[in-house]
Amino acid sequence: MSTLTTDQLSDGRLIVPERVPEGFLWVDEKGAWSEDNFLGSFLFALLWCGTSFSFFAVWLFNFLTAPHVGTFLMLLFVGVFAGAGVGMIWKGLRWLKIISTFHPGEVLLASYPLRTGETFRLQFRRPLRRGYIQGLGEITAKWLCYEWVQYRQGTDTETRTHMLWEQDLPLMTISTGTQVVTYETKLTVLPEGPPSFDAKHNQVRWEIHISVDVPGIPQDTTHFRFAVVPEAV
Amino acid sequence: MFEMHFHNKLVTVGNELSGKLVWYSPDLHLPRQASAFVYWYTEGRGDRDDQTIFTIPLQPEQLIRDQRVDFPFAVTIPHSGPITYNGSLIRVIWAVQAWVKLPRSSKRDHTQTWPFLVMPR
Repeated sequence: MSTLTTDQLSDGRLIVPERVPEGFLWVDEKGAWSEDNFLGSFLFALLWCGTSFSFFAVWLFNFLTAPHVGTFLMLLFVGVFAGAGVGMIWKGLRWLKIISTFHPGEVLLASYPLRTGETFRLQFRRPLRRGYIQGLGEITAKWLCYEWVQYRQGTDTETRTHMLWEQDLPLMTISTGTQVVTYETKLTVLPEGPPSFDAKHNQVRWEIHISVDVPGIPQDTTHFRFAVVPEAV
Repeated sequence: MFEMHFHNKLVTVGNELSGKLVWYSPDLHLPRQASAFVYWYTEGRGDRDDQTIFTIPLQPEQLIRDQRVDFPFAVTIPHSGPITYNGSLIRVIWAVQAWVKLPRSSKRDHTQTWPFLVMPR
């Protein structure tokens, strides 16, 4: 059975949906602009990049003026940190591009919580902040159930997952001119599947992962986690 | 020390687990502290999680030598569970645990655990 990579993992929080006339609404907070998050990440990246880039420049200069093994090894060492800084900038710019293009993703369910064996309709929408989609895009989605555990190993916190069940949902095309990306599908909670379990270090998660891929904007995946109660339909 | 008599060892969520904890000890060393509770805990790869759902009221003074003392209990298992689960990385186990701390001279604590099953509705 497969496991999930760090990028594929949701932040794991089981949020309480908002009650709306049509049912229950989840809004992906990760896709929303947050000044606190932005400022914190920006200041950290600034400090990291400022320091690592300066050291890298100094050792690059040393290497170019007096090339020998010692300066080369030092250049490699600081290069790792500078590379991480470049990665941070790339991720930050990618995130800015996504959230400046789209409003946060939303999911609507008619009833909640879910029960084992229950079939339900899910509606996803993600409006553009301005303009419309140019070119053809696509939405892909996965409905999955997995075990998630966390444990301490020395001073590190390790995370492991084990996929119990995974279903690829039908792909949908996003046409040119779309202003609100929408996706509707029917899902079933596996009748013999386990209900959700939500403890601090051990969890059984039921999630939908919805990826929006449109030309000119980095692909973005929104995760929504649902509670499945121990009750059969 | 203790004996456990479950009325039902298999319970569905939202229903009642009931039984009787019975004390009997011919031992001269009577406990200084004692407690008993219904709880769930996890085993497996992750760090342990646990939660006590119900504490069976018992006091060390009630535990008398050479005399059977019954502690009946009834507890409703939450609708949200968790259920008993045996997965690849996680196991969720429900149990009743009784624990006594014996006098210093005997130098030992004594713990007894009786698992039971919680099923979905």
